[in-house]
Amino acid sequence: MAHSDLDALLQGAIDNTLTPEEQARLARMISESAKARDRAAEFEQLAGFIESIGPASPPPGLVEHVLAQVSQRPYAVRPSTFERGVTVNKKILFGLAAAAAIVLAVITYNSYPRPIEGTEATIGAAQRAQTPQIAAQDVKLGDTSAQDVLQTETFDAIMKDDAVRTMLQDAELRSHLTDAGLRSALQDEGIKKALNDPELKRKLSDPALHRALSDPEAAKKFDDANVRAMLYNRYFADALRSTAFRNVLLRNGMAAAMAGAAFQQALRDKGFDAAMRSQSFAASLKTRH
Amino acid sequence: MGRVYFSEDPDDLDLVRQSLAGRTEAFGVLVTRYQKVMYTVALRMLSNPEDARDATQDAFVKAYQHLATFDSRYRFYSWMYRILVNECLNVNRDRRSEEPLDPYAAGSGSPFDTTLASERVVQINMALEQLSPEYRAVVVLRHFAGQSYGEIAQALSIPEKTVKSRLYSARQRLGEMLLGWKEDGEEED
Repeated sequence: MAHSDLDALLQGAIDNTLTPEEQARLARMISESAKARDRAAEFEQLAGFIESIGPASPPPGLVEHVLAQVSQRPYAVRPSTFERGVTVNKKILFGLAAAAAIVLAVITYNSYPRPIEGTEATIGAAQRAQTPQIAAQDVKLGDTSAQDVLQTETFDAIMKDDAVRTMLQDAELRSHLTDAGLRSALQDEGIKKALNDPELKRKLSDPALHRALSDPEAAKKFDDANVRAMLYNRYFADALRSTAFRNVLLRNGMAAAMAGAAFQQALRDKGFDAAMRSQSFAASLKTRH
Repeated sequence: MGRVYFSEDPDDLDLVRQSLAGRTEAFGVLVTRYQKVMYTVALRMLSNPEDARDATQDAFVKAYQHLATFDSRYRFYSWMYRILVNECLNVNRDRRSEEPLDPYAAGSGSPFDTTLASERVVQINMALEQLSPEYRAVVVLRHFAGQSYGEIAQALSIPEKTVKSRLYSARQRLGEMLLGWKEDGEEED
């Protein structure tokens, strides 16, 4: 038997995954071979060695810190109170709202008695790169709050700003904007300044910047404050690694629109996250008011 | 053995439901319940207590923000591992070279335990750091979180056979570094 076959069985043994037949086979090998016994001892020793360092004690205040953050940003809860500042085409809004209500009713009926409504599988989703943070396909909220979103002042402000409305028609951008870290980054003064940089397009097209996105050493070589602001903000740099996100910034007026008042107001709105996930919201962006 | 085992708690789902209904204190129970194992995983992944704390906190906050997407057919902690490991992989990727890892600091996270950090702890942390983040993740989830191949596969969105092969390769490397195993492929006979 090849060495690796023995190793595979030994790995299965320490991970408790062997079938009875495999257990018997391994036992036979160990009883017949001194080398197999030595190897088995090595595997056991390694597992014991690794696990000997034990669990770690979480730092004090971790729970309180998490709760402080989530209590300020109750995204898990369907927004319950929205200012009604609708001045856009109400026929379209009511139509969309009615459609959303019908969809909701069907979903609710069909999913009974599922305990958590409107959820979709996160684990086992289509395979993808491991490094992105929670991607849009993992966090579909459905349109449970579409009706509320469409009735916010944020929606109104977005619809009145052609640049922002056009920008948000990009599905990949909306996906990026479901990340709270990126939304926070976009409200950072340094990032806003970088977005308003007249040389931004040239800087974003610089191959050195692309290298710097994956090489911290290369990032250090930039003296430009705006480039550094972008590279050193973890969430913004994450987004910059996406070609789709960079392409949005390269389109005329889009970067400035991100730093503009309408978009910044939208970012601060509690309903913004739900809006980025709402199919009704996405559909409504295509209708000029 | 140092695995951070915990029992499957049947009321996790109930706590998720309560959290979705707006009871943040219910989410607090989940955080309290899983903070130790999550922090341990983060610390072994990142070898830096501050990064581990931040990653753990961020993972819980993200979990809360996306709680509506949690599928009740799965275990809450498996879902949490997925979020946490992604967070750790992002931190690893973004980590700047001017922040050298301190294997001594990756003990238990408490000053008392840090002073007691044994040579073994340092050795193991340094060896873990030598693994790629993807290989480190399978070792950490298996040895410090007691996750099965299937659970690790779910957490990392990779097939079980990939979990097995990564675990095998990672152990081989750890064996070479920690116990002087011969390099993989070197025949003893």
